[in-house]
Amino acid sequence: MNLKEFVYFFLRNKKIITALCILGLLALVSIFGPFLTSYDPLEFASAPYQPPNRQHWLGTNTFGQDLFTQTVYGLRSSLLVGLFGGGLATIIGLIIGFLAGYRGGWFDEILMMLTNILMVIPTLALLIIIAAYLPYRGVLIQSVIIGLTAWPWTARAVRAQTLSLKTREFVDLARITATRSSKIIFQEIMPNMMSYVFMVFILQFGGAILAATGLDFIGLGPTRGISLGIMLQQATLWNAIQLGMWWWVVTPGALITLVVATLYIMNTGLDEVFNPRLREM
Amino acid sequence: MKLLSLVKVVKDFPLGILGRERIRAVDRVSFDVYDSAIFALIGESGSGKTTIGKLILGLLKPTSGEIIFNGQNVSKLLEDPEKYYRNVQGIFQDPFSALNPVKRIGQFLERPLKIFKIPDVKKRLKEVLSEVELPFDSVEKYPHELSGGQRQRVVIARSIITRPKIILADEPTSMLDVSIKASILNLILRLRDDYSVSFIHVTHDLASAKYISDRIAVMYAGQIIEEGYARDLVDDPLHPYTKLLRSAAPDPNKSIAKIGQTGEPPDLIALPNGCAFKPRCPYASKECSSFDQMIEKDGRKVRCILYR
Repeated sequence: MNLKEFVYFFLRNKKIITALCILGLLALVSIFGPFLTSYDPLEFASAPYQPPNRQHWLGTNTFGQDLFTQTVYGLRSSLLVGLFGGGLATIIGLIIGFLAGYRGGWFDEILMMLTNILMVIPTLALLIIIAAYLPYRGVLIQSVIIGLTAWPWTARAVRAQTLSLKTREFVDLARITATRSSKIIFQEIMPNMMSYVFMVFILQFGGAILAATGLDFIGLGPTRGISLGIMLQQATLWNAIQLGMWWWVVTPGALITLVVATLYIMNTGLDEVFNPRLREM
Repeated sequence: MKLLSLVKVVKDFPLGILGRERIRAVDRVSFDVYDSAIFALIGESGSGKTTIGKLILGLLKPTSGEIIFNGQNVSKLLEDPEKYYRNVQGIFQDPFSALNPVKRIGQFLERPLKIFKIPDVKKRLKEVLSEVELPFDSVEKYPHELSGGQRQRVVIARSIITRPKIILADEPTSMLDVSIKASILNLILRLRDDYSVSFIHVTHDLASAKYISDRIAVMYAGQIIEEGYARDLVDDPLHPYTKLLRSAAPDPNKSIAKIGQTGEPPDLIALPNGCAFKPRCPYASKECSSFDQMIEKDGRKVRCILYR
């Protein structure tokens, strides 16, 4: 499929457009949100325990911090973790999966042994240990940690797909026209799993956000700044639910759900773009 | 002139986790293919005919023996794959998996033109498409918009696009409707006549082999058990297995009841000593267990003790 067609079907797909609009809006909020507020996310801005009102759009928490400010900054760091962490995991997984699947033999055995070892180590435990040893933790370091531990299942799945695709006759046909291995991988095999590659990235994107939220929630998030996970952690620590402060919990929880669900819808739409047979004619 | 020769080619596949056991898929196979000739390899599934095809195309490496193309060893020629594949091409069995579903026919056909640096892409595309009797607007189509026969024509178009000297056709008609078979076979014949290209026609169908081939080799359990001119071999088979194949092919004029038991295909892991066909052979005798050589007789070759 050439670029022109891709763009044509991409722009005609309602699911993709809807998902793009939502994600775009969220991205805009996370980029420009900080300009809409005059507070600092950690600043004790005004009276505590305020439900949403005109001055504090999403209310304030136990310390009187402005929750709208915390949300927009938190959304920013969550999306960054998704982008970098998910992206890193996808790239590593794809490279290892393609190489292991296409080359096969000992090369495959060694790579898969590595993958399996990483797979049986409980990722969260590993994340906790790594995160606990780092004196300073920023969003970027958190993404790298997540990216370096989340790729194994991607590698396995990509390898499996590659194994099945490389036995197809069009790969043999490409080989008997003296096509180079890298071209066979990226031009014959990969286009057949383009929707899969996107799905992997999108799942990894969502997975990285959830993993980061999990780390934040148990207190191993960024040492400075704020994230949606840290908001949830603080809400739990300070008994927001028991005190009836629903606004402290609902916003970050709903936003995380919205991001992950939107990514899923996006994925379904992309499947239709890449697979001509799924297109609604 | 000899174009392609196989000399005692053997291919073993390792079996089991450690690969200690081996399966012999191709066993000391030798044959010659001449200029602008069609050579048929016949056999049942598992007889090693497809493996031979892959060996010739360099998709597998022989365990021992030599494949010689134009007087040069293929394993050496493959060091420069562009040169080798310009002359040696292949058509595969399944036209449904031979075309990458995400690519247009045009892209599929242009690739070899780019790799082999053939000028005038559009003109060449027009030429080959008209040679295989497809309309030029096919280049705009995706594989799923074409029928099986049309797809096979596209695959054939790709194989002749470099003007090769020899094309390996691995069961080119077995996945197609009967009504389309003949047209593909005729296309192969016409390409042979127009461009003097040789074909190795791998098939399990005696009738289609006789229809287009000059010579036929029959394979059983990895070995060639009989080789001869197409007409002779089909009309007057020597080896008991060839006779079995001949009688097993359904003939609308005859009742099928006569055939009776034809036995099971061989177990390649535990082949009997001597002649591999012995367990199924009606003429089997004790001596068959120690007999294993090719007998030449009036320009025909047969691996059977009966013609000693």
